[in-house]
This record gives sequence, structure tokens and C-alpha cells, in this order.
Amino acid sequence: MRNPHTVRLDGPDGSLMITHRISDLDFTNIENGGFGSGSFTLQKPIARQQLDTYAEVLIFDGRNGNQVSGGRILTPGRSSDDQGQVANVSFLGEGPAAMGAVERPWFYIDQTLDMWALSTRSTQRVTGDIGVYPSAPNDIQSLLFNTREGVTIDVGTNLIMTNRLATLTGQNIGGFGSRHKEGFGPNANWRVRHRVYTAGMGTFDQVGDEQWDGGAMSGRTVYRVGTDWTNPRTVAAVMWIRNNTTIVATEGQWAVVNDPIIRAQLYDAAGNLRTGSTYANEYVLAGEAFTDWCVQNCPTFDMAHANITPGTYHFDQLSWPDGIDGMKLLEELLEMEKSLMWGVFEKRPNGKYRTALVERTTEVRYELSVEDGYDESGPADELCNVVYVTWTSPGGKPQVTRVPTSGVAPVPALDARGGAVQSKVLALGTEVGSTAQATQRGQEYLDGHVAVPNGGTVTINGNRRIFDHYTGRRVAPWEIEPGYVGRIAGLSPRPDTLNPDGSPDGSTRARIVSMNWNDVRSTAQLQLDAYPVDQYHLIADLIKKRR
Amino acid sequence: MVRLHQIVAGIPAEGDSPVVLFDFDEWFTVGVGTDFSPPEVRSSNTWTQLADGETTGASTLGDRVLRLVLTQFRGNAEDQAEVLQTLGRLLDDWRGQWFLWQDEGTVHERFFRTKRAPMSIEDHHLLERPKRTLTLSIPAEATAYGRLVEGSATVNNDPTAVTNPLMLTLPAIKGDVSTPLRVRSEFAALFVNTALASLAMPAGGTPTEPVWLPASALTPVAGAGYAWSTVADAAEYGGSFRRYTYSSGTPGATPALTGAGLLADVPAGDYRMFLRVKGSTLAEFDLGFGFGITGNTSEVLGWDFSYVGVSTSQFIDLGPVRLPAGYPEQGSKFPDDTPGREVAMDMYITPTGILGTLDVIGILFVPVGLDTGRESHYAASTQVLTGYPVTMDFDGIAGRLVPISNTDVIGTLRSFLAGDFPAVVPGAENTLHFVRHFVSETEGAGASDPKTATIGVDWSYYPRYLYIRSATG
Repeated sequence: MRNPHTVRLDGPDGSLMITHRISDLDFTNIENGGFGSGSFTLQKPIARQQLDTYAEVLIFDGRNGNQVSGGRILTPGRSSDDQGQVANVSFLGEGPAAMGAVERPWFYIDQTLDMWALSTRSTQRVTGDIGVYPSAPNDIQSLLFNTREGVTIDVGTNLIMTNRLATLTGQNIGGFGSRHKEGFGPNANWRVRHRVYTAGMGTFDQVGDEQWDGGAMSGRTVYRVGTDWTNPRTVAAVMWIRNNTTIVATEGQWAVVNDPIIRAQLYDAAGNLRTGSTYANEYVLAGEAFTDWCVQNCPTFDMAHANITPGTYHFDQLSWPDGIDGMKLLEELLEMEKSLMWGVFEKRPNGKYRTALVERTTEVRYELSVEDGYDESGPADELCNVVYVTWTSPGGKPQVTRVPTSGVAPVPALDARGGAVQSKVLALGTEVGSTAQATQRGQEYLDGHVAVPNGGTVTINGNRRIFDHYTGRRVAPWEIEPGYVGRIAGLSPRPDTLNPDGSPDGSTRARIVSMNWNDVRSTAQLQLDAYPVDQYHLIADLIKKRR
Repeated sequence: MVRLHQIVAGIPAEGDSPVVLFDFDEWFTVGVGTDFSPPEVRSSNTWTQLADGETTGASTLGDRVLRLVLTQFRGNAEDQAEVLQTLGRLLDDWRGQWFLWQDEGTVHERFFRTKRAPMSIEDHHLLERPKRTLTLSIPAEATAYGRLVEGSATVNNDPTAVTNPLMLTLPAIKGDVSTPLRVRSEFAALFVNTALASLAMPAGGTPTEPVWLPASALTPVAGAGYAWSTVADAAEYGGSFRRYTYSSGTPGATPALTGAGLLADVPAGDYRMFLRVKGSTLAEFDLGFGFGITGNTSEVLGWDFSYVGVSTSQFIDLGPVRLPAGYPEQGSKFPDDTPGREVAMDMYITPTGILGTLDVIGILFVPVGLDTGRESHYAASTQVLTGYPVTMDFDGIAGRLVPISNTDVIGTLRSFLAGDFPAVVPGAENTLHFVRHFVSETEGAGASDPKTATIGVDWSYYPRYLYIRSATG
């Protein structure tokens, strides 16, 4: 009754079954990532080209043909010693590998003034700036157009300010809008116009053309690709212009554009650019951002057949002109959308990998027990009932948001100690944030630290079969999918979200964060209720194993 | 039959004689202390203080050591020198040798695959006719081999056929331990994917057939926005299929096809599910299945996938499912008195996108891990270049998958194997299961797969022995 796994190596010259040439097979599947990583030792050296960069390994369950692990081969270590000539091969799952492989400037939604700049020259008569308009509440910054008192403004005098973020990142603009306010008007010959240009400022579509009305701040109009313009445009521009008649400038002849929003044009899962009403939303959903990133940057993911959940949190600022990689992007998205998890799994016959971004569920999926071993080396996480989130406003000013705004969050263990405070300072991940984002981040952190987790590691012998409620199957331990909840019999829980009453029935519910299978031990180790393993931990693990 | 201890050039075909490289009995007397005993069993066990006893995770055989004590070395000093050199060269070869051993009074020999081995020579009297004793400890593979056993058969591409319905029952397997099988099948055209599964069940039962659930056994559910009809078609399995014709609205929240009390007493375990379906070209549907017991199929839901219509019927691979869903594990160490088994099933159909008809012919369940089974292996080969006639060689003996084109050239034909090569187990009921052609949910049209097709199968294996073999074993 040998372990039924088989191992296949795919390289540029074809594929090879190497099951009988390897030893010490070890693989780990993870909650956020899918197939995580693994390693093995090749006892019989094979032709060098099989271990080329971008060679791939796939691990199957020989009983039913499913792929249970696999990934891209990392450059193998080699040794020649009393064990013979061996290559120590480690691999990183396609999900973490492809996500981490692409690092580039990128954005989805930008509501800051950071990327705005003058495109035409300020003169003696009209100037453009980023500044404060008269009586601006809270010193909010705006794109400011000023005239010099007493000079004559000729017909055709204009000033343009542009935002080239989309040009820098290589994306198109999907939506563009702002508010505007003027100190002078109503006047039909002073206009404020919204335009979208190509990168060289050669061609443009004028999507908005309004007169100065001199009243209160206008509402925010968002123009959208597909509805208001058709061709790809990468520069957003605001233009103030004097038409028809000259005018002598007075101190009140100023205008601002305020609260700008630029949204990147998104790809849908089928690989088509989206147009139209979706860009009227002044936010982006996690599912949209994930789909777009993967379609554009991870062509090996089978997005056309992927299972994507849109998510509910409204991201109102996602912009990284200095660059971001896929894993960091996901970290930021999932920090706010803690109810989602992602994974990239088996290679399909079409050559692409099954991909999913799905809701975490709280129903029990697997029935486990501590019969084969359990270990909890003492929880490391502390409790927390107040969070201070630091972030930067779109105007560039440092901000602090306290969550909850006053008092403390309810944490039973701390409340029992007469309301002791345990607080933490967190920095918001994005370069610029908003109050809503800061509050969400703080609340998510508090939700995760209201109780000491029922962590630990459960060992399952390879010969055991575990009941899977979702499929009705009795699965082998290496087939357990991380991210789902297991009920562990024989373990008394600490009260937490999954075990609200700390039930006395001697069974604990915990989320399975990772599944590690080792051929020599012939056991699976499931890590429970700890924080999800990320790519950096995976690589650190692999390096440790190779030593 | 006389005793034989020889180093031979290889395992000869049935009827041929082995080419002898060295004959121990010609020069020595094989004496007391000679040992060909079976190897150790290596087990990975776990234990805790939470329960008595240990649980074995996996166990495999280690290598064995053939121990030969050779006395009464014949010949003079020069003769002996030549013999010792010949033997030394053979034993020193790092690639190993074939060692033939046959017992007196038995009909069949065994072949051990040995590894590089040292010699131990004890010189007693070094005169002109020296007296030397040799002791050889030769490492060898865990089990010995017998001569190749072959056979061929034709499998019918029809799960309702009377003989060999998508499966083949193998005759009693020789040997002592599980041994890999080589299966070659010729196909008129190269398909997208082919599946081959081997299943070893305890002896004495009836050979396990694939489970075929025709659409005619399922009951169409009337609903708003669609209609069912039964269409007779001699070209399809069972001679008819059920046609779903969409008319309006968005059906799909409730099952369109349902069945209860199906597959009575189906052997419990894992099956790989293949849906036989066709539809109007490019019509798009979301299909889903629920399995459970009569009256309660919402218990287990899954296998949601999108189907794009193709006008010829094909099998679509939907992955493993347990039948009956959620049934308690059978095959424990104590006698089973579990109640009878049946399956209830719901099929959900939601038209999305381009509209058309959906024709459901049935569902094939290929056993890939039955509870009471001893061993099971499933292999799926994916062909990269389609359209070429080919012989698919699932060579479990050499551990490789080889597509051989009709011109006997491999060239740039490439195939990929998912899973494990088939194997056979002596003392068990061994069956081979085929799915000649299937597509996964992400692939479109494949080749046509008519029910009148046959699969010509050539199979072979080397029996493996622990110690000795009888005339029939």
C-alpha cells in the first residue's frame, strides 16, 4: 500500500513521469494561493534541460487521476556526497509564482491630486496650481485656475491640467470625473471642460463642457468609456478656456476642479475590455480588480472559466504609481475583504490553471480528529480592542483614525479584566487612503483579534479517510482543501467566532489554513486558525527545507 | 527439473531459452547458507497516547539481498582465475544483472534484477588446484520477475453492450504482488483525452463494470420556460436520449431532471463521473448536479460547470464523486451489515448566453476507488496534436506514455499523463476500464465517439514474485 502519488515533470522537450526517481516528496497547499509549494530530491540525475527555469512539476493522486499539487520549479540545488548525486528540487505553485512574478506601476481608482500637473504654461494672465480656493472648507486642495486682476483675457486663452497616471501604467482610462466650482458666473464664455487624450496629447474626446456658474460646488459627474468616448485614452485633462469675448480679469475670476476620480478600464474574465455603466461607480470591487490583474498579468490562469466572487467592499483608492506586485495587490484587497479567499489549482487540459476567488464559508466541511496527533505550541497572537490606523489624505496630509471612534471594542477576555485596553497602530497599505478604508481596515483587524485563535496543527495519517460534507466523499488527507472549516473531535475550544459558546462537546471548529503532506512520514499536517501563509513564508519554508 | 543458478542476459520471451552469461552450478556447489528470502516491509506508522495501537500510513518493500554460498570450486588455478574474472566483471557492472533461479522439481524460473555487488573470497588452500569458498551478497530489487504474460481483447465503446462494455476483465494474474501493466490501444484518430483505469477487487466477486445511468432512468421535471422530449436515436447509447428545449425566462433554480432509487446496491466508493451530452452548436448552459438519498438531494451539491454545445455526443469529465454520496465507509475489518444502497440525483440546467437545445444521453461512472477494493489506478492522457491516428502505449512497466503514429514514428507527437499507470494484483478480481475519448469542461469539440466503435487492447505484464513460483502461479 504505497502512497499513490505520481510525479510528472514538464519541460520544453516534453513530459516525464519521475515517480520512481524521487524521494522525500513534500507539498503544501494553502488557503490564499491554492497549490502553495513543495520539494523533493531527485535520486537519479536526469538530463539538465528537464530542470530548466519554467520547467513545471505536477503531482497526481494515482487512484483517481486528480492533480493534488504542483508548480514552477525553482532553480534546483545540487549536491554530490555520500547520498550520491542528487538534485534538490523545490517548486512554487502557479498562483503564488505568477502573482509574485509581475511587478509594475498600476492603478484601479485614483482620487488624489498627486498625479495632476500643468500641461500648458502659466502666464502673466492665467496661472494653474494645486491649492486652496477662497473659503475652501478644511483647507481641501483642488486644481486651481487663477487670473491676474486687471489684465485682459483674450479669446482662446486656456489652461490645461492633466493626469497621466494611465499612461505611466500602460492602462486605459475607464472613467473620469470631478466636481467644479468657480468664483465668477454664471458666464457662458468662461468654460470648464473635461477631456480624455491619447498619450501624446494628439487626439482627444471632449466629454464635458460646462459654463462657469459661480455658485456652490457642483455635483460629481463621472464620464465613462463606451458611453462618453470610445477609443482608448490614457490622459485625463481638465481645461479652462475663455470663448467669444475678451474680459478684464477680476479677483473673483478663479475656478477649481475638485474631488477628481479616474478609474482604469478593466478587463472582464473573458478577456474583453469593459465599457459603460460599470465606470459610473466611484469604487472598485475586489473581484473586478482581481479579474483584471489576472487577465492582464497572469495569462496562465484560466480566467475564462474562473469562479470569481465580486466582493462587497467599495475600494475608493487603489493606485500604485511606484509599482506593486500581484501578491501585494492581493494582500491589500484581502485585508479589506476578509471574507474572500483565492487559489490557483490544477492545470487543465487547455493548458491553463483553475482559478477561484470565493467566499469563505463557516459551515463545517471536514470531520477531523486528534487521533493521529495534535500540537499547539502556545498561541502567539495577542488580543486587541482599539486600533489606530494611520493614513494619508488625498491632499497629502497625515491622518489617524481610531477604531472604534470612542470606547473599546467588545473583547470578552479584556472586558473581564475590567475593561483593560490593548491597542495597536496600523498603517494603511495603500499610498493614499480614506476614512472609510481606514475604518474598514481597523475593524477587520479587531475582528481577527477578539479571541485567541484555536490554532495548532492536526496530524492525519495517510491511511485515514476524512468525510467531506461538500462532496460527500471520504477524501484522503492530501485532498483536503485549505480555507474551509474542519470540526476537530477530541479538542475543547476557546470561544471565538466559529465556536461562540466554547461548546462543551469536546469538539472544536477551526479553519484549515494549510495542508502539508510528507511522503516519508506518510501524514498530512493541517495548520489551523493561524494567519494565512503568503508567498514570502512559502519561500522561507522552502529555503529552510533545502538546507 | 534441475536446480538453476545463472546470470542471464535478460528475461526471454515465452518459449525461448535464456542466454546464459554465467552458470554457477557449472563451477560451484551452491551450499548451505544460500538465502533468497523476501525483503523487509518498511512501514510508516503513527501512534499517540490517545488510542491504543499504531496506524500504518503507508508501507513498501525494501530491497532484498541474495546470498549465495559457493563451495567446491572446480578446476585448476588457471580455470579458476578465468571464472573469477568473468564473475567479477558481471557483478561489478553498475547497471546490474539478471539472476535466474529455479528450484529442483519446479517448472518455472524466477529472474532477479540485481545491483552492483561485491565478492567475498576465502582462500583455504592455494595450491595448483586451489580450494576457495565464495560468499556473494548481491543486492537486488524487492521482487523477482517471471516471463512476460500477454493477452489481447476488444472492448466495446458502449456501456450497454453485453460483452466488454467499456471494460475488460483480466484472467487470473500470476505472481505474488501488484505489478504494473502495459496497455496498448489503437485508435483510428487521435482524441483529445483518453482515460484508462485499473481496479483490483477482492477475489470471488463479479467483475466490476462501469456504472451507466441513462437519461431514460431519470425523470424530467416540468417547469416554466423549457420543455423535455424523448428522442429516439439508434446511434446513441440505449437508443434514445432526453432533449431539453428552452423557451423563455431563466430556469435553473430547480432541478430539470431528477431520479431516485437509482443504481440499487451500487458498490460504494469513488467514481469518476463522465456526462454524455451534446447540444446545438455553441449553445451555452450552466449545468449542475446534486447527489443524495431519495427525497434529499440538496444534501450534496457540486459539479457546477458551463457547457458549450457540440453537435456530436461526447463524454465530459466531471471529476470524482462518491456513490452513494455520504454513504458510510464500507470495507472495515469487521463484517459489513450496512443497509442497501441507492442514489438520488438532480440535474440543474440554466441556459446562459446563446440559446439552443441540450441532449442528455446519460452519465458514466468509472470506478476509481471502491471502498472494498484493493488497489485502483487511473490515468488520463491528453494529446497535444489531434487528428493523427495513433497507438497509445500506457507503458506502466517502463513508466512512460508513448503515442506512436500510424507511420510508427513518434517525432513531435506529444502526450501528457495525469494520474498513474494501471497495475494488476494477483489473487484479486482485476478489471480495466476505458473511456476512449472525453473532453474536460474547458474544451470544445473533440472527435466523434460512436457507440459502434471498438477498442483493440493489447496488455502485458511481468509477474512479480516474493520467493518461489508454482507451475500455475
